[in-house]
Amino acid sequence: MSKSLPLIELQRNFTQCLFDNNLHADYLPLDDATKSTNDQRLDIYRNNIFYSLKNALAELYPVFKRLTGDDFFNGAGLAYLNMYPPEQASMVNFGKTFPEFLEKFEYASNYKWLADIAQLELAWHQSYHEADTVSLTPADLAHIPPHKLADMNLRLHPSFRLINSKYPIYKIWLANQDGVDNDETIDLDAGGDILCLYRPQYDVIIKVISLGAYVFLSNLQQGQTLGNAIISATESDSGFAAEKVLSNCLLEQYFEKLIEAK
Amino acid sequence: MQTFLPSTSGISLKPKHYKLILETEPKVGWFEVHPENYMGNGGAPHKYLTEIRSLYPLSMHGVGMSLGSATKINEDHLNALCKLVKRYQPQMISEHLSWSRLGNTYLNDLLPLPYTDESLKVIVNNIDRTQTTLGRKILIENPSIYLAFNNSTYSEPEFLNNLVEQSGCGLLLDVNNIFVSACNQGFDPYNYIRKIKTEAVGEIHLAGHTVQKINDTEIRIDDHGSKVIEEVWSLFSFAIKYIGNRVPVMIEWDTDIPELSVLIDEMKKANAMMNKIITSSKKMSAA
Repeated sequence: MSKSLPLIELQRNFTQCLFDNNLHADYLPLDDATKSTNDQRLDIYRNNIFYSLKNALAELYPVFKRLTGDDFFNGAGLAYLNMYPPEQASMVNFGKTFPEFLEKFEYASNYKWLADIAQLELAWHQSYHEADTVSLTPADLAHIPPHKLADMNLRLHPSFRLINSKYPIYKIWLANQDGVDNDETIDLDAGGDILCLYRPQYDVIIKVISLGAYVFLSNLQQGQTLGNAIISATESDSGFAAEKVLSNCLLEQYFEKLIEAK
Repeated sequence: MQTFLPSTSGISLKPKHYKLILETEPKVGWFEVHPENYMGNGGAPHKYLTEIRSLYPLSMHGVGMSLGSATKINEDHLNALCKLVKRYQPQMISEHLSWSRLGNTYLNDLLPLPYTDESLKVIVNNIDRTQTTLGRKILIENPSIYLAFNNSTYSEPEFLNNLVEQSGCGLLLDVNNIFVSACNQGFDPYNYIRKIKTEAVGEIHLAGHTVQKINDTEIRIDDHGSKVIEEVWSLFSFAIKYIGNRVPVMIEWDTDIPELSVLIDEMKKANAMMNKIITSSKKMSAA
């Protein structure tokens, strides 16, 4: 190997070695003094990277890890990190493509609900780290005439997340929290969970919501007017009681601001 | 106005200790955090850091800037750091003599650099960009090394001294890393310290490491998961004697994090050692 290998080439080759265990240390222009152990030394860097990232992934997806066990988790984690290496140093943003990866991961193809569990854990993590803000109160809307209100949008709290799963993911999530020892059998076909997550203060809250409320809130999330959100919700859920749902959302502090619709 | 870290010991700030620190307000000189753990928009991490910052001096010790990358510095990361610095006004900002980014791929470790003129130019430019954006000087830390390159033309202390001269940065001397690298690469750690420009040293790090046996070779792994070992305490004591002044000293702990009191005991040990050395050397020079 030439001694004048430009730094960019060296870093490219080093990166290749980190991801490809078939490449040996002699692929790199290393000091001969440690020749007999250079392969193992290269392994230290490989281990540091993959071990720390797998730990970070385990912290982000503890329920997924508990459900699948160490071996499956390690295999899935490694495949994920090879396919989606992190792009940012900030650990807050790490691992957000894991649910997307799981949807295509062949070894999880018989367990479609696992990707939804991961989605719930990701939503929880994102909600936890989202911006702090003051929520809208019922009094903030009291002086707005109803016809004007119908043409406006209620912006959801930055920490607000919606999840609509075909599977009972909330029951599974609750039964697999740290310290919970629950032998209850959960029927995967017993119906799905529609959830919202948000953080009015510092703790993330999870609520089970109706289909109507889900359609209403996702319309608002997409920037629709309050009027249109109510129409869509009523169309998809005949039991949708607009006034009751809206006042409940305000009490629960789901909203941040009243704004012009898109 | 920028204030400075006190020349006493501090410890890593860990989430599992947040509540106890706020409840008991222990006597700790200062706390150090990895800014990468506070790059979210809000929530509990910021709440606790804000409360703790109002009580103690703070140092931000980055691991993600990748100052040694031949591809240019990641501006998003620099901006995120800048935002944190504005918000928390840390007394110290530091980073590493290493690289961890190739284009869009972030490699979550402090990877080694060949110590060449080209590397020097790359890292001086990146430090310059960082210091200009932050509007202040940063410290650069010597990494733990497991592999060295055959095209290096500088020793590590020579390389660091050149960095100081060309970029105006200061040095964060990690005494544990010097010891780990010295064992792994077969150089004299005391000689390493003798070669360092001591006036540039703005902070010292101490931590624990583990020993792994590979074939018949012992390799030391810098995992920050245990107490500082005796040999590293001795090297630290030599470094303080050699520098001849009190320096802010940090006890790092990143894996298998113990009770807060264990970190505080290590911190007290560092303080006592430093005080004894400086007091006796002052007495000697007065005599």
